[in-house]
Amino acid sequence: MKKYFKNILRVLVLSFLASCTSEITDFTEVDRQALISPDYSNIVVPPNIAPLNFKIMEQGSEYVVKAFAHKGKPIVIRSKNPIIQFDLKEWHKLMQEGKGSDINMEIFVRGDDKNWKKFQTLTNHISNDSIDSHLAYRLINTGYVFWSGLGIYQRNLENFDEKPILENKSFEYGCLNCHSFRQNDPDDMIIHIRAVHGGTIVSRDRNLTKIDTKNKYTLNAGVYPSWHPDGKYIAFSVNNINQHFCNGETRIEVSDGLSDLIVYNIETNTISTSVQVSGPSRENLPTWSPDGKYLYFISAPPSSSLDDRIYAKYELLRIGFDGLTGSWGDVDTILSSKSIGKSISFPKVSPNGKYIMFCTSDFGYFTIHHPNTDLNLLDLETGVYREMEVNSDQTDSYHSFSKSGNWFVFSSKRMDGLFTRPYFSYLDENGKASKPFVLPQKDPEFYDSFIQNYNIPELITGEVPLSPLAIRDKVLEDAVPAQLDLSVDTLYMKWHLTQKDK
Amino acid sequence: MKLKIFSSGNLLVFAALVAAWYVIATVISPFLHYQLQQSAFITDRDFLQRFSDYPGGIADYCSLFVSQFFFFNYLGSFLIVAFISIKGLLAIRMTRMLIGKSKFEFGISALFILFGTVVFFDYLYPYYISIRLLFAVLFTWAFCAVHLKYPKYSYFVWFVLASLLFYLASGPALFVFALSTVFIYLKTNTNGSKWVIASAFALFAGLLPYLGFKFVFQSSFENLYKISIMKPPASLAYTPEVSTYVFYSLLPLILLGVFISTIIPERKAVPVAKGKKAKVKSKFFQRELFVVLFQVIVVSVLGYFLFNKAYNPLKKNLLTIEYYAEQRQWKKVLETTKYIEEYDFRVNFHGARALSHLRLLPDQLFEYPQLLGTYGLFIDANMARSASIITSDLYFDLGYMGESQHWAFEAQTLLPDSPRILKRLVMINLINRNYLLAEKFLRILDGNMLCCDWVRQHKQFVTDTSLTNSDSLIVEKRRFNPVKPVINTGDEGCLKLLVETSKENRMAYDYLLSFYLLDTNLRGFIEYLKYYPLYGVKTLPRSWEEALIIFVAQTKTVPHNFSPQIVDEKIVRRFAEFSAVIRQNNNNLPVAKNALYSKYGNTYWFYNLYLNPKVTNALSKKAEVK
Repeated sequence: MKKYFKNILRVLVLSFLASCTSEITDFTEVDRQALISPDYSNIVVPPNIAPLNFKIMEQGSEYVVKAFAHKGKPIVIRSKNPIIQFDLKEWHKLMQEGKGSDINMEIFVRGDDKNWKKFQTLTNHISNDSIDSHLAYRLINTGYVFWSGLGIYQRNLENFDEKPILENKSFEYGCLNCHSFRQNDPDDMIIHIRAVHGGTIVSRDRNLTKIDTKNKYTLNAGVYPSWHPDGKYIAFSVNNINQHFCNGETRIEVSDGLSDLIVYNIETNTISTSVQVSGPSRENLPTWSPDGKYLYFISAPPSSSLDDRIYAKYELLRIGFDGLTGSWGDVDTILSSKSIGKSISFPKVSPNGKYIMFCTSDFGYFTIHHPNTDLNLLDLETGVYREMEVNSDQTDSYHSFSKSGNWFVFSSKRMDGLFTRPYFSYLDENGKASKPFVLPQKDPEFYDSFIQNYNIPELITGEVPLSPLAIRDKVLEDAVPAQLDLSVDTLYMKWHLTQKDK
Repeated sequence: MKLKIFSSGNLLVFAALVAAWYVIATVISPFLHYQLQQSAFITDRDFLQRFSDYPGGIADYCSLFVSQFFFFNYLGSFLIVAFISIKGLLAIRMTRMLIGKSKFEFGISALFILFGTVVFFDYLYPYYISIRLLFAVLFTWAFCAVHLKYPKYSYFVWFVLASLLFYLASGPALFVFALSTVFIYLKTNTNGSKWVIASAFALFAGLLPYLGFKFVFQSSFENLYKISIMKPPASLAYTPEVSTYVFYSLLPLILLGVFISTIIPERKAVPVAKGKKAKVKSKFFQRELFVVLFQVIVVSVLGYFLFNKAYNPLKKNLLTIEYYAEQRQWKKVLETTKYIEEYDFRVNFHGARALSHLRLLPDQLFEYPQLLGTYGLFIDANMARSASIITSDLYFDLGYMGESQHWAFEAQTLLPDSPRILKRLVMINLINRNYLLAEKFLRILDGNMLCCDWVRQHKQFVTDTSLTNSDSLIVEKRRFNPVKPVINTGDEGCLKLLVETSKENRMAYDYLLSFYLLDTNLRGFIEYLKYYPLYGVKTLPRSWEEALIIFVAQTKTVPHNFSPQIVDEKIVRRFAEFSAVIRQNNNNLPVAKNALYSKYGNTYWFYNLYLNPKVTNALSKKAEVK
């Protein structure tokens, strides 16, 4: 009797499996692609990316998706609901086998009339180039003045694991600010803490220190960072930042009354600057060239009124820097705001040194709140710049390259005009970017009800090796004050600050 | 068989529970806890996950589930009493397990009811404190039962229960458990090593939160040891009162009493030879009736004192005002403000809103002492952290969606799941035609079981956006909402923009003129006063007339667009009398103040001379004023 039931069960299971995988032969073809959300169609994807789960936005009672590459076993998903979630192992197998070729998605939807419809096949290209395995970002609410629970997290891009790097609930809800890595290396990281237990946490080769970069000769503690490729220096801007609330499409303007650049020497715990980057102008957002010989930054004229302050246009400059001696070179203008009629922000040099990716908007540098912010690419060899293909009619702003430079991630509000999401795109050797796609989630409806913002997405080559508890313990310690480098002209800096106070 | 439920002791406990329910429902009013704390519970896995990574999170999660029903006053009161009674019953159950039926069972139950109720007089009291304690009592009871039945396994069970309890309900619950179980253990063991084992229990309980902090959890050290945890928003930070600590100490104290009762040798029977008198006295005091009566009296007296000490009608009235304001019951707002004699900026703020909605603002603006000037209309940004929701409400009333949204986002950052804030964000985005965003916030609200109806009603606007054109509120706000891109330069700028945007926005117009009056900016006032006919105003309201007279007196001219008859003769005469009183006091304003107050204390003239913060310098000491 027991055996009899076992056989029946076996037959049932086999017939169920057969029905799941059997080809649908009787269908009508629909002369368009099925709508899916998020939009994962006609994109280039890294071979190591997590499954691109999606929701089929077509009315139906049953759904079948067949994903296949030129070789390897296709994945067939049959579902009563339009949520399509791929098995992690099967997905990676298919992606690895299909490297360098296309991955196709055949989508069948069974209508209420019980008839199947087949939509045009969705095709994505699987790149040969992998993307860095992790993405680090801060998750913040949309409040502009207050904050509560904040955290910097790392998401494994090869699956759906998200782990905290540091959460502010572990240190009395202080403010967690910018995080930055040296050339995508998770071993070398800095994090700013403000308000409670303030200071800058520096992790170099997994050794943690906490420093206070505020000095009586500088405007403020370091704000926007960039780590020198050789690991010895970190450039910061020092800013006097204010917010101005607005009516209209732009909800808030963030502007600096004053800003300068400083360079922190990790080995000597000293800060240096130069008259050329601590001048009357507002120097900001430093970023190193991959060879470390230049520090790129943006600069706007000094402000004498609120209008000047907010509506100024920033241009792109660079200054030479000798990493061996720590001495400064000359300043060059790379791209002037006058020549492009826009304000330049967030410059980042590609790892091969060929391009600079930057944001443009009508004015200012804090572009995330400007819907007209776009990404641009400047060819450093030809000096030609152009707007990138990835832009949308909403904000497309902060960006970071992968270690190889083939991939980049950027912040975009294209989904709903309010919440910032990370999008990825492939940059080919000619500087052409592929259609961007949003960070995949296990639940394809995730973004429909997620109301936090992904802030400062940074690609890193692995998981940050330090535990949140180790970082927290360092946060709870007192910060070590950084000293001013003896080469800095303190008389000038004092005078400079008094001029700015005026 | 006679049902024991109807025993006199049980009936007394039942009476105490009914009394507690009555006090909670009518005096405390749990819906005001809900109003202040915006307890929100979302039925999805992500919400649960947020509570799973820190000690006490699960108890917090359960407390949010229960406390959302505080929205319903009587149901909320019932739930509070029900959970208190469970603690009392379990405590009684444990004493019975340990020493059998006791004469003090009413007292045990009543103390839990008393302190469990008293803590609720503080509207900041977070309900997780009660739920965490409930976990501690439950676990203690479980240990007691296991220990008595299977003493061999009790060590193992203790460590498992202690560790689990720490995860579920955090450090203080663990301490309650540890102390209570130590007394249970000492009471039930006679071997010599019992003190060593009891010490080990206590040591483990003391160390576990530290070890959790050091090696496992990303919580702050204090949060693992304190009864109330420190988390944003600061405006809801709760400082435990003595009664809270007593509430947490009740079970260990009761079990300590049980333990002590066993180590004190039983009194021997009183020898007859000692005399008749003593024998009678002893019997009387041992009678159950006396003992119960004694407990009733003690608990009643203690309750009277504790309730009197804890009850703060000012806080209750302030919250009631805010509740009525949220419900848009403006007359009730004004009625409730009358119960508050001291100046309070929240009364000022909501009073002005209510007057404006009732079209009474220009007439009755100075009925309330406007000690903060314009900050009585718009809460100062420095104080707005605790008032971001009501600031958003005001801008919504005025029709300024940009600022309403700004403050709603600030509030949502502090209280991410508050249904009140999420509803506000839905409405703003419907008005701004951002249907995708409205849908997103609706989707989150849909997870809140108290908001299902509201979500259903508003989802139709997203599925058929044309329906928004037939919703009078949405249509009106769209008309009033300024779309011109500007940088906000302050409240005056916002009001001017609103007035320029729509000439139907009477509230904005009233607020603008009131703003100028409170700012004693008569030029600005006169500049906009001339538009009053556009707003259907036939005769000038009192404060406007009073200000116009001052303007005329100061400039010796009647501004063009105004005929001299626009001001009522009675007002002119009153102003003359007002001026005469000052002259009678030799123009000595401080001396004239008392003489003027009784008759003119509610006039713009009096405000201008005596209450205006530019005169009193009140804004430099705002904190004291509020």
